Amino acid sequence: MSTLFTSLALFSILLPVFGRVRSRRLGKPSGWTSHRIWAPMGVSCVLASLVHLGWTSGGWPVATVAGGLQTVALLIALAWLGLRRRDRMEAAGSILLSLVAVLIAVSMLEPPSYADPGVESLYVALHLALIFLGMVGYAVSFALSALFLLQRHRLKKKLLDGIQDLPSLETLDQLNIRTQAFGFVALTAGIAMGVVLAFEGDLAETLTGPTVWGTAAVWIWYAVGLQTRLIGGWRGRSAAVFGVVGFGALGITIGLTVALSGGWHAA
Amino acid sequence: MPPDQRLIAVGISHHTASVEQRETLSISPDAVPVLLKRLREDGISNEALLLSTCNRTELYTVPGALGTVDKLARWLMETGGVTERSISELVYRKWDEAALHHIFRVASSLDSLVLGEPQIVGQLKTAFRVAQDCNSAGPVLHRVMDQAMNVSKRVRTETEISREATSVGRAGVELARQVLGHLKGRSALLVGAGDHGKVVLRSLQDFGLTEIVVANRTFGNAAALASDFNGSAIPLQEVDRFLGRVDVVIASTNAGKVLLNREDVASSLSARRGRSLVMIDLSVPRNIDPSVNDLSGVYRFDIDDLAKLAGRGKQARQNAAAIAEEIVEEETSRHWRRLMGEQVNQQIGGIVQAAESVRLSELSRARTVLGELTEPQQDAVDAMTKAIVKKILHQPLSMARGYAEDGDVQKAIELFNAFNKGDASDD
Repeated sequence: MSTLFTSLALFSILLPVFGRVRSRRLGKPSGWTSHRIWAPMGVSCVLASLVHLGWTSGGWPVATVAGGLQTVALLIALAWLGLRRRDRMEAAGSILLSLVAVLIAVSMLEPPSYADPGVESLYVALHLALIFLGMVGYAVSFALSALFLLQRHRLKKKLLDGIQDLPSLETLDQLNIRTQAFGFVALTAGIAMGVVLAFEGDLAETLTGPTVWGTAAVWIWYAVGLQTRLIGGWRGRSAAVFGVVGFGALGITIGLTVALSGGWHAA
Repeated sequence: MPPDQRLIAVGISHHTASVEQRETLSISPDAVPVLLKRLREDGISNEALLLSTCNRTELYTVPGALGTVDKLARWLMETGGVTERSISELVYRKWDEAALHHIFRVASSLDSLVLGEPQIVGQLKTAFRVAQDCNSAGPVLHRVMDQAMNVSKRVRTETEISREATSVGRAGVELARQVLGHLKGRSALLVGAGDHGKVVLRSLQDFGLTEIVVANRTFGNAAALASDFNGSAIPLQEVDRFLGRVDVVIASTNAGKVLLNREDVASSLSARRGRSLVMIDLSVPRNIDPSVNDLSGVYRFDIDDLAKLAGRGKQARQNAAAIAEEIVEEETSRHWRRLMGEQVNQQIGGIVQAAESVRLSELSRARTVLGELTEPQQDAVDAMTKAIVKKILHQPLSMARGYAEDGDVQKAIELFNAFNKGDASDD
């Protein structure tokens, strides 16, 4: 049942992405392939899959890798639905919805697992949710950073056709820094909560896994990025490069977690 | 009113005249009400509208008893103080259906310098409002302008003519906004006093630019220009000092050399703390070193970039213009028939009224001979005379309506004239 929901979600997310590529090539509106129709359906299907996952795993769906990935996918899709209310953010949708599709596809590859007894706790679920919210912030920051670099390239190289399809550099930069700050605050809170839970639950050994090291590296990276922004006045291209590289590091962390672990902290 | 000149359009535009020639016939907004009033008082126009923009000066009018196409064209020339024959030949003269067609083309932006540009609609509306305020816009111009706006709307809705249409000034705004986002609270430095620079600066100001600094080789000119923009003036030597402060730099001089080099701009970057700087170089030869574009956070554009942006989608707009022309043709033919049909109906109303007054006067004359009649007798005579008038008028009026419906208004008018002559000869 979960596979059916995720398949439907994948279809609903990918169709508008392909529709947009096709419409741009033909110079016609997206029509029935518009994300306006399909994105809400994709969100509903992921939600249904998560409910089903929670039901069958007997715990919080975020506690399993598949459930966690789908939660992140769901949150990114919701973030996109919020972001697209701004002008000229359609291109950000292509990047974010592609990410959502990748996360759903990876979650489908992950064999069904059951939640550890320890992660039935609401605090653990909250710890994971905060970490995931941080990831969502960085995912949105990545999309905005990529658009910034693309728009900057067009303006510098005088490739002026289609510049109006993307938001201004200032808008992208401002939103980028806000989403990075949001991601950083959420990630910091999630890490702090995880550390407290690990010591209180006598689970200190979980603090040495690839997930923890990867997350710490990502945290340091973004901390440096925000610090240089506030103190050194780094803006524009530097902040965008930080957003892209940081999200790359985050992707590697998630990849390692999925490849090497049977769960978020299982070695 | 001459029989074949019920609506007249005379004027010059970018199609027929150069900027200098257009300048001579340009009419200031303050002068328009006075001129419209004089047109009516002199009996040249019953209704009139004056449209004066940087690309055209045109008079749309319903002529009065003394108004003819040539007289109105001469009037327009005299208004601009032009006596040169060479310029007089540039004034185009259109009347009736051709005049309506021209007005529809102008409103639809098919006659504009940049095909599909939207500003002309606002300019036409403003000109009409001024005519209304001066009581110069009567029923015909009301109807014509209403129809022109509808045709313009139809053209913009049903074709792609307005897609991406923009002026050089708007292109500058667009590029600045692509980098800086909104322009509210932003500042600009204008170096020089070139026309393009002023146009771009004015457009930026329209979009919310707050602070303006003007630098010029002659400080007095800078001060005069700065006062036009509610800005401040600085000597040309102090430009470097402002590079770290402003968000947009526009260079528009005829200095013929680079005034802002890479080192000047690079040394200002630390003061900017990462804020982007848009540099628009409108001079030929260039005043801003092209290599400043390689500096982080600096975006340099020149007149070619602006022209490229302004001309974007030109082919698509030209294709759309062909469809738009068909729409305008169709609408002109339809609306001209309707307009003339209304005039024919008005004439018919006048003839029916005249016939009724003849009937009543003849009836009263006959009553003196007939003496006292009973009420049924009076009713019978009344009904009989009404029936006679109706039957006599039926055939010619049906013919006139038929001519009007077929679009042959001239025949209908000739019929009315014959009718009026007959009426007059009876007297």
